[in-house]
Amino acid sequence: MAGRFPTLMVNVGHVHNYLDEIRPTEEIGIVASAAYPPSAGALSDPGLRAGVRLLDPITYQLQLPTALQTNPFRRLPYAAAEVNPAAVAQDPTERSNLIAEVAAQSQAWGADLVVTPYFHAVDPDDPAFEASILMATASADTLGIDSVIPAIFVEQNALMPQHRDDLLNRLTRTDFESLYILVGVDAPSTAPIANDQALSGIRLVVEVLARNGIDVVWGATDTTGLLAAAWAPGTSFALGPDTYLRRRRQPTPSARPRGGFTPATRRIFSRDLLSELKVDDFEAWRASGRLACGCAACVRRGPVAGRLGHYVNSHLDLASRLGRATDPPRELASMVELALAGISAGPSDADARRHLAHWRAQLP
Amino acid sequence: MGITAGVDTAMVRAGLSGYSVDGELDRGGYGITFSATGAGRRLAVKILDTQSHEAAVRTPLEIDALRSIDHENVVRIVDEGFLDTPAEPERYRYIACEFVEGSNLSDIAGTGHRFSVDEVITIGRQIAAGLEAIHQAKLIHRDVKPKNVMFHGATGRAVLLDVGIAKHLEVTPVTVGAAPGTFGWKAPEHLRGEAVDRRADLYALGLLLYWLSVGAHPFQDKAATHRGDLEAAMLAGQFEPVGLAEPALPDHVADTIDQMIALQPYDRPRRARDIVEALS
Repeated sequence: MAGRFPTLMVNVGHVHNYLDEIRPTEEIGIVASAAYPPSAGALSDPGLRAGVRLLDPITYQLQLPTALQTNPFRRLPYAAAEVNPAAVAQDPTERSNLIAEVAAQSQAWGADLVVTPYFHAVDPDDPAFEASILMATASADTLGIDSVIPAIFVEQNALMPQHRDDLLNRLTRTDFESLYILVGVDAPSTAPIANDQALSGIRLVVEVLARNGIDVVWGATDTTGLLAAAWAPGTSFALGPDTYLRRRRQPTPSARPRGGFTPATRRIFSRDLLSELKVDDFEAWRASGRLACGCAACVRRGPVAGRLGHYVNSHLDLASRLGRATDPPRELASMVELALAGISAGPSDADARRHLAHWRAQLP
Repeated sequence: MGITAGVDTAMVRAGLSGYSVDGELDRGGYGITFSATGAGRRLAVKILDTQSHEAAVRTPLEIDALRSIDHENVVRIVDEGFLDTPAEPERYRYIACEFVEGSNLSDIAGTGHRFSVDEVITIGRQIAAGLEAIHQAKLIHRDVKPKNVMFHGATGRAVLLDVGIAKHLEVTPVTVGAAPGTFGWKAPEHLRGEAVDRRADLYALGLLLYWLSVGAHPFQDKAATHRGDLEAAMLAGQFEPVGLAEPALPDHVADTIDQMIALQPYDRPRRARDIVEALS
């Protein structure tokens, strides 16, 4: 347990039955999406060992007209059109309406803390950032500071040197002792997910927030690798089973999935970093309660023992191992080295080799 | 023109019904303070000109917050309102506070008194406790400095004065822009015109404790004469650690003071109560 949260927080994202497959060896925290909240029955499974439960209200989707189908707050009058976060936050009526909706949904689901409404901000100067802080402060005033966990959603850009001081000053300004922070990446999907500046930025954020007594649940999805590299003792973070430690190429519109790693695949393991977890006896490994790969190839033909990328375990194992490490970045580095040593020099593993080399270059 | 030009004892006597105004106590950058008697007790009444400074303009929320503070280390507000000046109604705001016995730290230092380590810790803890009460009321003081701290040597009680320019943070925990304050005691973010929050008060308290401990401002270069030199030094954030300048200070006290003067707010203690605890 790190502060208020279990060391391992698992973001169950949009995966309906993911909870059925989690059998952790230690207590974990659950972060669920308000769009697809797992049922109370699924959460009460004793094998799940779920501790703290949070429901991400995904209110940033209020900014996306295309997301209204899954917007759980579409009943609110202003949710019928694209939302201006600053306007919602500044208007006392709209602010309290949204807080009430989020709190009601969160409490009905059985969350331990209410994740406060938040909006997507490009950097700390974006009015959406202060709008999220304002929503958090108002939520604390309404619901009690111990009943909420403030949420912030920023782009990786906010971690760059020119924004860091501003970001940190704003994050440490309030009385809150916990934060739910999402970091997004606006780079092209084929770009490296973590450059040196972003890594050093997130390490500084981790260090400063810990020094300020703030427990953090990291809720990023497409930056899990970045977050893992910056792992620090005492900091929790959320991992998405439907996300990846490396970025994928976007398929061209005409391209048909040919198996392997396609966007439609529900669960693919991270072959970049976890190949050292591959096992020779797949059935024994699977019988231990771990996840099976959900890629098209594995689903069609079943797993092949010893093949890179299809037996690695979930992010749960990665996070669990890093969580126990005394020096997580070095632990991660050793995992990458093992993975590098385990792959072939042939063209089939060229992609994995390139990504692993990229990762290794950024680790101690 | 001074912000309270034209305000004198006669004018205040005429415009302040229910009080017996004795005379002027102090004339500062944001107003004039008069000694008065009201409701059977001695009071200090500060007059602020609403046309000269935003600090004198008060929202009902601020007034309620100011009057809600009841802490032994913060001067108590007894009454507030406007002077009855028919030609200019609601121009001059008055704030009537309890009269605090003792001398302010600036005057005490002026007598040649060197503050002991125990006095530094006592004053630091009490003023931090007072700031915590102010911050809990969602106010920031914005003018912590030696002249605004009264100290009664016999009782050992320190009281933070002049909450008259305190600013309510309402929902947003910052105030932005040309906020008031006193030259030499403003936090770097304040000097840069950036958002200011309660950690600016903690910075000023850190400067004050350094000044009490060492007898000099941490950024004051004795050879420098230009006002801009001090501001530049404060913005650079380089100072001699207080533990080196005054080795008698216990390490935990010296560390706390140095941390309070950190250039970036996120490197300072987060809350006033953290300072109370750290100085224990």
